[in-house]
Amino acid sequence: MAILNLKNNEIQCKIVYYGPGRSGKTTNLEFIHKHFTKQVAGKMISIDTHGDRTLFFDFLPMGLGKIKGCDVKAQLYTVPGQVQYRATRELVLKGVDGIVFVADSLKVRREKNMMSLKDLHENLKKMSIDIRRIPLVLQYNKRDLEKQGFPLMPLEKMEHELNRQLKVPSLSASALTGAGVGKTLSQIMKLTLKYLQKEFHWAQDNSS
Amino acid sequence: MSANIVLSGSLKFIGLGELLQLLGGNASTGTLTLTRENCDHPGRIFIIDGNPINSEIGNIKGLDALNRLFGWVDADYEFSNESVSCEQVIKKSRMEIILDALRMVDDGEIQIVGETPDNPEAAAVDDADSSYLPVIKGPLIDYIYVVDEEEFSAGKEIVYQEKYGNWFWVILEGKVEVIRLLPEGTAPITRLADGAFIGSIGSFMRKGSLQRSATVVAVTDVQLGVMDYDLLFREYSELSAIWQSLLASLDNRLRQVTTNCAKVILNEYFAQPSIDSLNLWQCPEDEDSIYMIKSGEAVIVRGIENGYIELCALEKNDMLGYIPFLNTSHEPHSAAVYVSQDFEYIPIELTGIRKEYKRMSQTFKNLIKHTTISVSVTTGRLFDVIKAGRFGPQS
Repeated sequence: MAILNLKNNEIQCKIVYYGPGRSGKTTNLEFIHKHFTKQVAGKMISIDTHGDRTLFFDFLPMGLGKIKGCDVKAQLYTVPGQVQYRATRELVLKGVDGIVFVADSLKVRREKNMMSLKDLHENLKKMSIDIRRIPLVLQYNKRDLEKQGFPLMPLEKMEHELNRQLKVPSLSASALTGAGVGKTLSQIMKLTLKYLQKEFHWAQDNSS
Repeated sequence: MSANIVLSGSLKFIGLGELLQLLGGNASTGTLTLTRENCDHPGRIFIIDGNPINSEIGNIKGLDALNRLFGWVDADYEFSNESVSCEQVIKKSRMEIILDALRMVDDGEIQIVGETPDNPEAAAVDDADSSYLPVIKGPLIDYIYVVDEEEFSAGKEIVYQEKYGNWFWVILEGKVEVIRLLPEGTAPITRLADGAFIGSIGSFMRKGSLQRSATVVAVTDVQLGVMDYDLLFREYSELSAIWQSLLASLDNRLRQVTTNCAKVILNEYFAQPSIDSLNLWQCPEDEDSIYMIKSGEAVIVRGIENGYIELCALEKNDMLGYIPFLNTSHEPHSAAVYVSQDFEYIPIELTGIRKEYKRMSQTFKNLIKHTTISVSVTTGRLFDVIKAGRFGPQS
């Protein structure tokens, strides 16, 4: 649920990077923060959580247009994967407008991806959000590791296992080198803005 | 009520994290006041242009106070739109404060006061039972620890006071009543429901030979999970000597508080503890330690209208002090400590205690939390009886 801030004439939406621990969520956001400097507003907040980090910063997507004359500001978050971080996860996921699920391409992490996606599904359900309705993009990360000889899951298999039912846009990426990071972000921003435009249109129709 | 109050409600509905984001997004300036029932000092957060700049709870100020307020999950709030003139001591950004405080809540570094029933992972106390007894519930059960299931029909005794046994059960479904038998009569203490444990952590110290300290009777038809004692005992035996002493001391505290509660219920306890020969002991200011009694004795008391009531008497190797993630609702905030002339203590740093706690299995943590919650709830029950003047044996 995006927040309409009439004082600043802006719509604030929330994009959350979700996925198993060490799949590259923070690497994605660190890359964005470092390389998209013109669109990043303010410093990146980093909170150390066990085996993971929670990151947050404001992002101003340019060139994607306005909604009802308002500028759009996105808040980008990562969420800690560990079960114990319930309060943090709840706050981060509350009012989420778009989700990037960062899956780990390493073969050994196959189950972790599936568990984490199931976990996302359940956490969203608790907030009455349907995973099939909310803007969602899958990112198959760490594809660069193949060159270094690490056994990876073939893209088709990942697609089959994670995206067969969801049928959402999916991209391969190497967050460490930055490949696919920008594309993923732009994809989720587009989906989210489209979704919000629809929502606001609906709100207007219903209020008239 | 101040005329400037522009927003008010309960944190049960909207959490402090969200509330601060809301005021932040609105660039509001003013004072956010949090109040809790039975809490002497309200919490205050001073906000300029949406950013918290200072906070206070009584004498506690700044970020420390603000962080603690994230544990007040059942507080009521009021936001007054007014100019703020206090000094800016908090320099962190709004989101950094929120995310870090929630991380501390999740890591157990900030104490949750007033658990809500819609917080199923945390143990909760439900006062709305049809009897006047408080009901202790527990978090979700890890079935790896459940080796068998047993059923008891309503009215059946599950555990007999004074009999020997070391079994632990977890309540899968239903409600039981914990009853302390004294020569003077039968005193119902608390009720336990889903997720709560039956059995005492004291049994680890004397494997197989501990007398049950209370009788437990099924109130409804209950389904119990028999806990894997060997698995739990193995985890206990791998704990440091400090943690083992801490558990022994918590168990000792629970037993004594339960006995004193039963005495009050049965109208047997009017005598004030004789603290004339004892000195009031102030916990040292250093909040990152607890204290092991090296010599002498310490009596934990709480004031009542015309004197004191003894909660428990501790001796050598018992522990004193406040552990933020294991609150017994005793010293230093809710009870006073009186000590004998020869009292000496050894400070023990909480850092090590906390580190070891984090490494424990969730089930073992739940078992420990169940004990501290039982201490807290039984103490509460004792004072409820005094306040309500509900003395005399229960039928």
